[in-house]
Amino acid sequence: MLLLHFEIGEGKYALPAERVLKVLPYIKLKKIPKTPEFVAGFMNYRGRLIPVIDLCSLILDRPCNPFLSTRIILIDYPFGKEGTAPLGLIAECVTEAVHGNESDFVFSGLKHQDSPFLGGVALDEEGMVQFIETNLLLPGQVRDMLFNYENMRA
Amino acid sequence: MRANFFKNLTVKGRLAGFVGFLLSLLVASGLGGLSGMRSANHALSTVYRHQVIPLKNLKEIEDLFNRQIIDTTQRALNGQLSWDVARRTVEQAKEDIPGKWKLVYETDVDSSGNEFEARRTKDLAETAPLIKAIEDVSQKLIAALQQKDTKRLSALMTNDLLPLAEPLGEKVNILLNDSLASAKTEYERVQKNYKISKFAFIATLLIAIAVSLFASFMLIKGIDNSLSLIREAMGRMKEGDLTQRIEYDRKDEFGELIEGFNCMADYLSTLISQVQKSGIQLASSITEFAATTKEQATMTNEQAAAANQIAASTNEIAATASSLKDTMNEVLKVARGTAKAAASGREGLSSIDDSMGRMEEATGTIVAKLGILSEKAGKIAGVVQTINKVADQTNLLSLNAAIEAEKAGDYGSGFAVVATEIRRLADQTAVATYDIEQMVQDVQSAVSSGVMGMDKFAEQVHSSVINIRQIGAQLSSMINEIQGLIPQIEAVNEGMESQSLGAKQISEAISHLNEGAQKAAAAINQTNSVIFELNKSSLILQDEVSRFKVDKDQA
Repeated sequence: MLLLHFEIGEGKYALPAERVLKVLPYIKLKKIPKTPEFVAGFMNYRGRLIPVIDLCSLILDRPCNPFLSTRIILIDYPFGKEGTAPLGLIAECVTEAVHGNESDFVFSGLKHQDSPFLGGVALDEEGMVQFIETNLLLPGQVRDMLFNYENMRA
Repeated sequence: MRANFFKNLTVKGRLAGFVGFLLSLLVASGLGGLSGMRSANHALSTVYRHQVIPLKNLKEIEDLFNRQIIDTTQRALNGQLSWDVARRTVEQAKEDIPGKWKLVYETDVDSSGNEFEARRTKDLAETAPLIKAIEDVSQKLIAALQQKDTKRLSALMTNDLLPLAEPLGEKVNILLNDSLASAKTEYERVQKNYKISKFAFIATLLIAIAVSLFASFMLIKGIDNSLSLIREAMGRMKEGDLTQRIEYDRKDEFGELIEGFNCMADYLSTLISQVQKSGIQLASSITEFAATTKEQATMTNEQAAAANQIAASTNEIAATASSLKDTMNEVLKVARGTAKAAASGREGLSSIDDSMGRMEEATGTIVAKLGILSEKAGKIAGVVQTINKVADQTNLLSLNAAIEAEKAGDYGSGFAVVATEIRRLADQTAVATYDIEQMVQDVQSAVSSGVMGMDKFAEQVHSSVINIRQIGAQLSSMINEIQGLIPQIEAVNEGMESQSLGAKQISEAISHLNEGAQKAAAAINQTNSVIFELNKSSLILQDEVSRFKVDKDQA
């Protein structure tokens, strides 16, 4: 399988490319008031408003640096019983896509309650890479707040 | 009223009254005694004159009759005596008897009229004819003797003379008894008087003793009371208590004495409180004085030290002045040399000025060239940035292409390889542009630092030119000044000499001052010891005076 590599601060992370809709350059976002700090805002993608979260804020409690390689990864976020919705993730150094196996990632045995999305760790030629479970990225409360489509339809 | 009278009676008055009373008693008792004695004397003289003398005369009359008449007649009869002698003896007796009788008789006239006197008068009257008879017989006897008639004489003797002898004896005895009885009566009377006098005298004496004892006791008690009041007050005063006053309501000598004592105590109390106050003031004054003197001593010592320092400094100044004089001489020489050197330096400076001008121009050209270089480098940087952006876009595109190819599965595998290759090329481009970017940045920083260095160098050159011009001007003025300085240095030299002299004089004056300060210090020491003595005396005075207790409102 193909894995999209990126960095959060000093650490290297990876997520499966099959989940990725598109990699976009870092553009200006519309801030959403009264949301958690890691919710970076809305972005306009082809006439559609898509919520974007900052992985640096989520993991390191600081926003991502505005490098040229800092990009928005647009993923297909599973929502409801079978439906999905697009979600933007800001990460640093999003420049590499590498082939690898899911079995290479070994579960560390540590599972934090606040960060259930941090998965197993694999050894790479440049160091260790941690797997991100995209399904578990958002806490339920935030997820319900960001993807409240039923109300919108009503 | 009565009590007041006694209270106000002086001691003198009381004493005088007492002594007067005693004297009057004495006089009374003396007068009584005198009168008793006079009465006794009178009785005695009465007895003597009225009883004893008449008795003696009567006895003499009897003797004359018995011896001179009867015996002489008898002896004349017996022939033992001559007629003439007998006759003269009888004549003599006849003449003496009436005289004696007269004495006896007349004495009775004055006698006091007791019963015995009356009887005596009667007895005397009865005796008188007997005496008359004796006179008659004597006359007859004288006649018979003259005639020497023995017969007649014998007859007279027997008939007349002898019968007379017995009655005469009887009468004399009666009169003698009368007198004795009278004397006894007188004696009894005198004895009674004496008893009365004795009783009166003893009573007087007893009263006098009692009164004396009582009066003396009262008097002594009064005096002793007053004296003990004064003695107590004196005792307390002796112990230093001056608040003591004596209360006394009598107006006698002690009253005056106590008034005087109270007055004296007031004066003493005032005086002592004044002395106490003065003592305290004196002590505080002495303390202040001592403190002042100590300060003065310290100041004097400091003054002496300062004077010493000044003297040392002055000596140093003198030494420095003389060495300065030598230095000034050298300075004079150097100044002359400097004037010469400066003149030659001015010529060298003008050639430096020219070189500097040329250097300034060259620097300007270099700076312009460097500016061009910097501009070019900037352009290169812009191109590099563009290439960088393109490489980034290429990377993004290839990344998305790879993802799409993955999703396409086996159909996209060839495309995925191309995408990976493109991404690799983009990465290499990015690395290369990064290197170029670094080099351009190095060039730009080198150029800008070079420009800055050249600017600074140009500025330095420019300022050097200005400085050199200024130095030239300064050198010219310096040369002038140095040339003008030489006479001034000479003047300074002279001044130094006089300063050295002045410093020596100051040094001498300071040594005089130092002596004065030392003398002052000695005087202060002496004052200090005097103050110490004074303080000691003051303490003694306070101690002495504090023995006296005075009223607080006075103190």
